[in-house]
Amino acid sequence: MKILVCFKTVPDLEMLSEEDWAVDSNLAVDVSFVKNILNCFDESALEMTLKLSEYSESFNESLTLTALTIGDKKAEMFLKTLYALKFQKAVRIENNEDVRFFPEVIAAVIAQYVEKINNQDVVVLGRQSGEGDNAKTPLLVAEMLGWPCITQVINIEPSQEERLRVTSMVEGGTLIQVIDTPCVLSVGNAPVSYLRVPTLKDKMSYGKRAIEVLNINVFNIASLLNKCYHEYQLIGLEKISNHRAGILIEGATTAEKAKKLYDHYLKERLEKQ
Amino acid sequence: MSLTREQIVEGLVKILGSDKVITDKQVLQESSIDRFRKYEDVCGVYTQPLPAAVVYAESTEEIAAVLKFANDNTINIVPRTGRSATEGGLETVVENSVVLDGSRMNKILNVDTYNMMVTCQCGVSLEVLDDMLREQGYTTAHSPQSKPLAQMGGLVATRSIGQLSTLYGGIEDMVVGMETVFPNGEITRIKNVPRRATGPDIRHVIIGNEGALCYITEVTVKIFKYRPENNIFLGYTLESMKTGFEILREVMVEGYRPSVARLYDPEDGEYYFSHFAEGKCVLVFMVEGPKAIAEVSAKEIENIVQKHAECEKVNSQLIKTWFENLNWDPKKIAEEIDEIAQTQNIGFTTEVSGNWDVIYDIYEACCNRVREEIPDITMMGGHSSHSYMNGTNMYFMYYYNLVDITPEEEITKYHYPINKIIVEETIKAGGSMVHHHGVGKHRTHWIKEEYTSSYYILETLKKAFDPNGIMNMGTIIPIKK
Amino acid sequence: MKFTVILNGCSDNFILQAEEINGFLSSNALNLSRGHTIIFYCEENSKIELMANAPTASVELIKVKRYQPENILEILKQRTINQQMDLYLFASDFTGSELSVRFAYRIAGSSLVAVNKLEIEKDGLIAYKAVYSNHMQGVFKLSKKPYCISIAKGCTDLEAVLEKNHEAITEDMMDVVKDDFIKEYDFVEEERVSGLAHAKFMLVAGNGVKQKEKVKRLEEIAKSLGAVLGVSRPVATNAWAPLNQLVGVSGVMAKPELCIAVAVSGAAAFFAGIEKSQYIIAINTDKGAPIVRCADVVIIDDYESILEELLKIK
Repeated sequence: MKILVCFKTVPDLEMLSEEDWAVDSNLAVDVSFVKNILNCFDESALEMTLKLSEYSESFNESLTLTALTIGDKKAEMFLKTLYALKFQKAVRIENNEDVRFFPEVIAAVIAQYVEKINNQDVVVLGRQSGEGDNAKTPLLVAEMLGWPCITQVINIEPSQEERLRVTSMVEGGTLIQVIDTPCVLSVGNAPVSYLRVPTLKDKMSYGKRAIEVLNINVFNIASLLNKCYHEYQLIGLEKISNHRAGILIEGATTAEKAKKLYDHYLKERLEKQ
Repeated sequence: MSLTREQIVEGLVKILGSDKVITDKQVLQESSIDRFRKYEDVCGVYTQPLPAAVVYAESTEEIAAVLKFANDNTINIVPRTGRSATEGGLETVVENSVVLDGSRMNKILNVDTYNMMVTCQCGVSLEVLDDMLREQGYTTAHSPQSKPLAQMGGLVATRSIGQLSTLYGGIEDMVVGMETVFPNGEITRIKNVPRRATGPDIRHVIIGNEGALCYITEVTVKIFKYRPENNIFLGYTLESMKTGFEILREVMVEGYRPSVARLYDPEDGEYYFSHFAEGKCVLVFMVEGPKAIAEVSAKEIENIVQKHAECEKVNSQLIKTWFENLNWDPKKIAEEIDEIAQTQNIGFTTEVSGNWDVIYDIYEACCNRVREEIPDITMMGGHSSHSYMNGTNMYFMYYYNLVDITPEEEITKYHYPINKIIVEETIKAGGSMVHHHGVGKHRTHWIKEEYTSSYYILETLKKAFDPNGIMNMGTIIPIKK
Repeated sequence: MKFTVILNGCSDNFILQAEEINGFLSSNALNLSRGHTIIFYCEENSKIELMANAPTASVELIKVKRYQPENILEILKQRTINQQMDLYLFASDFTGSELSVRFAYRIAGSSLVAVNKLEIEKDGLIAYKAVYSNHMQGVFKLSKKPYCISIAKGCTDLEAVLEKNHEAITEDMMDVVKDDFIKEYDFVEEERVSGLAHAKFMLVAGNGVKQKEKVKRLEEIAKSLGAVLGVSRPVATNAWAPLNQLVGVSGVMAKPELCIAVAVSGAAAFFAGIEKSQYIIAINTDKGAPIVRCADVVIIDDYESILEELLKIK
């Protein structure tokens, strides 16, 4: 079974201080000076797939894992790590265009990659990421490929007859479904949230393979972008303010602080409940 | 006849009252270790003897009473404040120990902005203190990574050092005077004066005693003007650590005093700097102080760096953002526990120092040996973060995957052998095996090699001040088997 | 603007969806007389209640075997093929966001997920939504009809449906089957239904709570204070609390009148889950934590001690 995991590296936005949230003339926030991390849902997706690959061996099935990212060279560090963790293929599609708010473009590139360059049985992606928070890419990939899609996936296990047992969250509970491929899996809040770490030895033995770099122009990005511009655009961006009074309750002891809190701020509000 | 657990608890309740004496099992378990055994915390498996109680003292007199009770009955006392220890200093290795916690002694007693010093109790959080001072335009200038957790008593007891040490020094350069309680209940005070030549500087008996001689109840430290608007950040990428050490040396020897002077190797730097320095070493400076001095220092340091062609300057905003996100807060610690549990990958640090002529050799030998000899290593690297006229430190960072082990074997299979390599290589080269975390309980094995003939002085101090052996036994000096 | 609301009547949270959409319609001044509602349902005996909660008078009830997105999408396309609709509105839950995006693709419209507010302009639709992990609000202009919008959790007050004169048609479309890729299907119900979304008083525990036992104790404290307990992502994913108690962008976006946040650092993605609270009391040992600047009242202390004290006083 061939599985493609698509991931995105995102700036660690928690590192930005209050004054760093300035918007420039391109309606962007300068995030160039914070480090990049794996988008949290994508990190779950990658680790979940590695676990699936391990379990599959006990079903005498071997998986071919490909990791794909679209972006600049900064992502290669993560691709090397994925090689060291024994992904068979690590691909980067070179892109310097601003596609923060155009998941349609990203999805179209991924769909073309699967259809024309490297056929797959399953595509796994995190549900939402980083700057854009569009929450659309996995859904659009499914539509473009014409494949079914399962969202809010929290676990993937092998099953008999080349099938997968997929656990996902739905309103009021969890669904466990055994499915035929092909399928797109959109990963949600999974208990698996960290990617394992390769040893130095594995980095030396597996992590040095060449990363396959493709140019995004192969995927007709100019016309994709142009189409998007005509459908919708970002026209404004502003900081969400969380400002409140922030009255600090002081007191010599815990009991005194608790008493002040209750008398002045809590009692009346509790009575209203 | 030594007391039973129940008698110890009874005695402590008599002194402190029952609400200050905690015997809840989970509290005792968590209080039997520090971050050296964080894997035990992850697994919920605790291997050390559980203390008889954790007690919260609220005054110097209570500390004195507890110590006297312990001294009379030979009960081992583990002094504790902010609990950010990493070297086993808080482990309760002796049966029926008592953890004496001073974190409720958290009053700031006097801020003296004319004589430029602040006096506070041992349980004052450094961050709370420094934030309070900053609002008035002052700072302690002490900024260890543990700042959000650590408290003043523990910082002095472990000879802490902060990120700005190259300008302001370690805590030993900041302490003016102290109040300390000795095992027999003796309360002593060293007065606050700018300097004196009245015999040996006895402050240094107390600073760094790691709770093995006495209990620090109150400290007075210097304060400095807080002028962050003058801070200038400089950052460079370079190919080799060797060049980096040379530059650090030149900056120090030429007489410049950046507050931050740090050199990261590519492995250690990857975590922080991968977005601009992948595969490279990173050299970082921050200069501060009066504007004119800061500007000139920055310019001259730049001139020194520029003589080395392999150094490439980076945008200073990169360095500023990195610096603002350097400290460990409770959230990071909680996340780390979760991450270790999921990935079974764990990391520790060992910090040593050496003179300029040996530091690179120490760095190279330790990295090579750990990478070659230790199984399942995922990362071995480090940085220099505190430079002096004579040399600098190396802060080694190492991570490994835990493969086929029981929780107890994490230490024997990985952590000890790595510590052993780093300590032995450092001592062999003539460096010091501990730069700033304290000896704790896991590097005591080499304490005689570290001290050589001066061990006599250390041993005599212990005998003189703690004749009954009740102060944090097994810390700094190993327990005789 | 001609619009259609799509609701999932197979779900237990139907009323919440309906009231939220109804609130959204009124706060964005959409003319109800130009609207239509499509409700998917599974059980005959739920029909009356479902219809009564349709925000518009014009209602279409479509019977399906179960709520399976592949089938729903196919049915939606069949039912709307000849309509000249301006706007399709979907609920704030995960099924709503999934449908809005996939449906828009199928009918060649444009979509946006988790929208807080709309403004109708002559040549397009202005939509506001949170971006940059809830640090920023983005303003988007959509120019390709039909617009398929799923609303953001907690973006408006819940408003009970007032419409009394519903005119409903019913269709049975159980024979539309696009989900034969599913070979086995098992639904495991969540043990408890968390009342977070409707809670008026919440106690919220953040990452600083590090043990299952402490979460348990908080559960008890919440109960005796009359509050509902919500937790952060790490607490929930450690299985210290059921995932339906998760607060934040990936869980419940709560809007209580009163919220006590303990050991919450205030990371934006989590804070978003409680920021609509009318009044926030933060108890935290870390004076520098962002939550301190985002709360109405702050105590710097150990949260356990303060809460235990509060219980004594109360």
